[in-house]
Amino acid sequence: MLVILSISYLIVLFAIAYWGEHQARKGKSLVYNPYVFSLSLTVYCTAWTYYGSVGRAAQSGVDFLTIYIGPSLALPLWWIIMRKIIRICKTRNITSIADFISYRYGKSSVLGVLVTVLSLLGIIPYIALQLKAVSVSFNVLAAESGPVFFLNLDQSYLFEDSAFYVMLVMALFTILFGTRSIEASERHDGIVTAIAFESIVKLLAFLAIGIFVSYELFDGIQDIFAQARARPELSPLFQLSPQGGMSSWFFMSLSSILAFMFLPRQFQVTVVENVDPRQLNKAIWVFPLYLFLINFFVIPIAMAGRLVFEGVQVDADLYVLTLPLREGNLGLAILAYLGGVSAATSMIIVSTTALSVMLSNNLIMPALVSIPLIKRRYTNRLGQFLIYIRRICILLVLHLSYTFEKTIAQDTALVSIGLISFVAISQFAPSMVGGIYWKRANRMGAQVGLILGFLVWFYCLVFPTLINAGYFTKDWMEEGLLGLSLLRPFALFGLDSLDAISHALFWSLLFNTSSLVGLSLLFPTRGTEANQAEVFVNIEQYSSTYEGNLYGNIKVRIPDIESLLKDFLGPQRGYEVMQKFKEFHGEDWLKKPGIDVNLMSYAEKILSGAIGVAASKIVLASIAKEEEGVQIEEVYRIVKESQQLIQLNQQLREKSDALERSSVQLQDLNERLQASDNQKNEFISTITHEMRTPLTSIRAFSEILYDNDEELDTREKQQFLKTIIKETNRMERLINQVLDLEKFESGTMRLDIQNTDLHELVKESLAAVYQLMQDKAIRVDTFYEPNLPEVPLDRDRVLQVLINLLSNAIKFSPKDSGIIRVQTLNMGDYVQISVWDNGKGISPELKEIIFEKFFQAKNQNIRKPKGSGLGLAISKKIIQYHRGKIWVDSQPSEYSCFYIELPLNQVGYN
Amino acid sequence: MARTYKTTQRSQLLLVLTLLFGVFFNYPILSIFNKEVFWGNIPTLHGFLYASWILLIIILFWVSRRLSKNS
Repeated sequence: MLVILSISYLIVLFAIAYWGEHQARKGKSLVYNPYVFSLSLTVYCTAWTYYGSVGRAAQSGVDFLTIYIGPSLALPLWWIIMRKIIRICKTRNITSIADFISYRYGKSSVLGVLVTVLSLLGIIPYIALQLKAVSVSFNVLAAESGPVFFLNLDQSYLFEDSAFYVMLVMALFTILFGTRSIEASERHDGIVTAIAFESIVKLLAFLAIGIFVSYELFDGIQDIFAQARARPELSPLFQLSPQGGMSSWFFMSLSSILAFMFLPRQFQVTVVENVDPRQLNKAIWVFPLYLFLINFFVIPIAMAGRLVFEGVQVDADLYVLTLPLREGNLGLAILAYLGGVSAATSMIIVSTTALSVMLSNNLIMPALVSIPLIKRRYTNRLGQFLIYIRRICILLVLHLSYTFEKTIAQDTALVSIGLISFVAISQFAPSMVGGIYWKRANRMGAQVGLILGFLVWFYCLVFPTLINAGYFTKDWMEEGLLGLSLLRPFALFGLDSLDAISHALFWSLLFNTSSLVGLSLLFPTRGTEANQAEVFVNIEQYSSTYEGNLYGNIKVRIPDIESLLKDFLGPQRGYEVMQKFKEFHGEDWLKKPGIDVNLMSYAEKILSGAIGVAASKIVLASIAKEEEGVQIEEVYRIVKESQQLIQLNQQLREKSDALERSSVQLQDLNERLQASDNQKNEFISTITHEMRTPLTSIRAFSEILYDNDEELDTREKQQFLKTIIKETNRMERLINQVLDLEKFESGTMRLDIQNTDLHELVKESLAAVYQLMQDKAIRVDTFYEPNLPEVPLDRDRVLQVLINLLSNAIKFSPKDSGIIRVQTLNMGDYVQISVWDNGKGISPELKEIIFEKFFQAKNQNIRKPKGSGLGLAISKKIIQYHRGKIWVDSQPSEYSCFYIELPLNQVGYN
Repeated sequence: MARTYKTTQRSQLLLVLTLLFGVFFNYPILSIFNKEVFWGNIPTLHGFLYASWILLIIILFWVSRRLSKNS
């Protein structure tokens, strides 16, 4: 029966995961619910919480609580750090701690490998612990409930291998729900739903045991303590040990805070699976409440166990099972067992998913694709290949855990393995925190810091475990390595006043942090690394996430929005846009509740395409402001999103400089245009039309500034000025484009050729259009040729081409179901970059003409919302100047794919 | 302007909150309760830890509502 129950529980789990994915596909994903997110965080509570806490409480009292109070008290800090990390990861497409650290420190593959190895060494024993917990609890329950429940199966066979079956089922689950798509950044709705479900099971099961023990076996918690008080041998449990109790309390809290933030499984649920950073708001109270509840009965159960099993040899780790069993309450014992299974399986699933991504991306794939045979065979099927590799990684991780469980873990208590793992994970903290708050932190510091921290951890915690297991001589514990007493693993450099965990944490973090800080200060940061440092530390300036509906309390007049749209988009387009909105909402659209707010966000989206996100918000705010009774603060709140304080004078100067420059350039352009022939008349009228948009918004803001000089405070002014500068820059860009084209056509263009990392460039272009893709919920798949040599090219020019192709792809991709694929290929003498989208496509006769100036396909019913119509023409010139080729392949209404080829050898070119 | 909020200031407030909690749950404050004294039959250390934990959750609940309002 136990077997059947276990299997049915796992079947329910599969069903829930499947259902979760199904809901997600229908667009009703549960993952958007902040409570589901908060519950998924409780994957922090593993079998170690479930069984080990009671065990530790029974041995040493309250100190197990640090593991839960630590994260609870650090939640405000967690909120700050995680929001930043989420933002970085979502803009850079980062999906694991290993990627994060290696990306931040100049894409160091050494760091990626280091973090992966450290994670594997730290987490595999931890997974083994879960397997052990399941098999031990199974055995206890099976032994107690007797052979009747085994359906005549050979007991010993199942006894020995329950962990093995758990491993197999977990592997199946993780493969099914964790490796559905190649994009690691794609979330796993099924897994998260299942984890949230499991978190409820483990909590309810534990509470049920707690209530049973406290109110069935005893007369309440007071009674348990009263009886315990009468036993002198239990009195050490009532307080922390006067020797070192306080310092180990501190170090254990610290370690659990760091583990809570940087454990791969926490990173997976907090960052990778996160759909909205605002979910963190709710989590900061739901998560500690959960921890509180699941720990509430730990001490009563532990005390009760000690009282009930006085003088009997019973493993304290298993009190949650043995207490109900002793009372003959088999049902409750089975519930407790299922709670334990859910705690263990949720940890195994998420950890394995996270580790397999790390392992495949940082160790196995780089090694495999450097083998020419594999590279040739799988070049076009890299995605499928990666899925298989990831599946193999899952099996590998679980197999290693199982082996560990069968060998070393046999005689180690639950808690000690968990704490050793926490100390290992804590080593990531200096490079992570330093990486996002300190620009100077550099690769050498991070590498040396991690290696030293790792070595100290290994020597002080893992080495003694190996000695205990009989792999090395015991003398080294007493006399130190090579007989040097300063090198005793538990008393490094003579520090013998701390317990083993605190001791190891102290020394490893000390070495780790001081190497990071010291080496970063000694050596300067260079090149791409400096760029990444800048982006990671000041991520707010490099990304803007759309944060919800900002217009909740604002009343606007619909005609105002309408006329605004016409002002900015031109009467024709403005009219079309309004018609579309009306059609969508039906005849009675004016009577619909909240229609003004709807129209406001609609207008904002349309306008963002034309004048940029920040500008459109401000322009809309300006019409809302004029309405009576509106809180003026509301408007300012909109204006004041993620602003950077720069001196007002400087901005003013910049602005006037920029204006001056662009007016000179305008003059210049005008002269040139006048000189050229009649053919360019049309060209001029298009250009001036395009220039009206930024000019109108510059005028609007200048007027706001002029009219409200008294009421606006410095920061508001700065914000307005910032937008004016931005719009001026936009104009300048447009003018430059026209001038560029001119230069190309007259043959006076000079390229600045430098050897460049092409992937870096592609990623930069993706980051530049990230917001546009977000707005249309477009998915991006990237396929990078590994080991691509550096390409000689003009960085800025080619970046311009890439951004142009991507913006076009975004423009023509369908909303919500849009997919863009970017691929790089090494073709020997040249590299090929392709940008594929599933948009409306291009009909065959237009394939050549689209590269001409101001081309617009006649059958397009959507006019280009943004852009000059010069983009492809300039792109073609740029690529031709590189002696490359650009062309398009397309199947109308299915896809279009733009190809660029750049020669790898530019010798002889300027 | 009234009620202007700044991201950096908010972050600093949250950081201070964590530091305060950290001080509250560590030596020497903890040593006040780390004695063989009982409230009812509950050891003071246990009582203090669980009671202040609940208090902490209530504060976090309030913080969470403020954060949701602002962002």
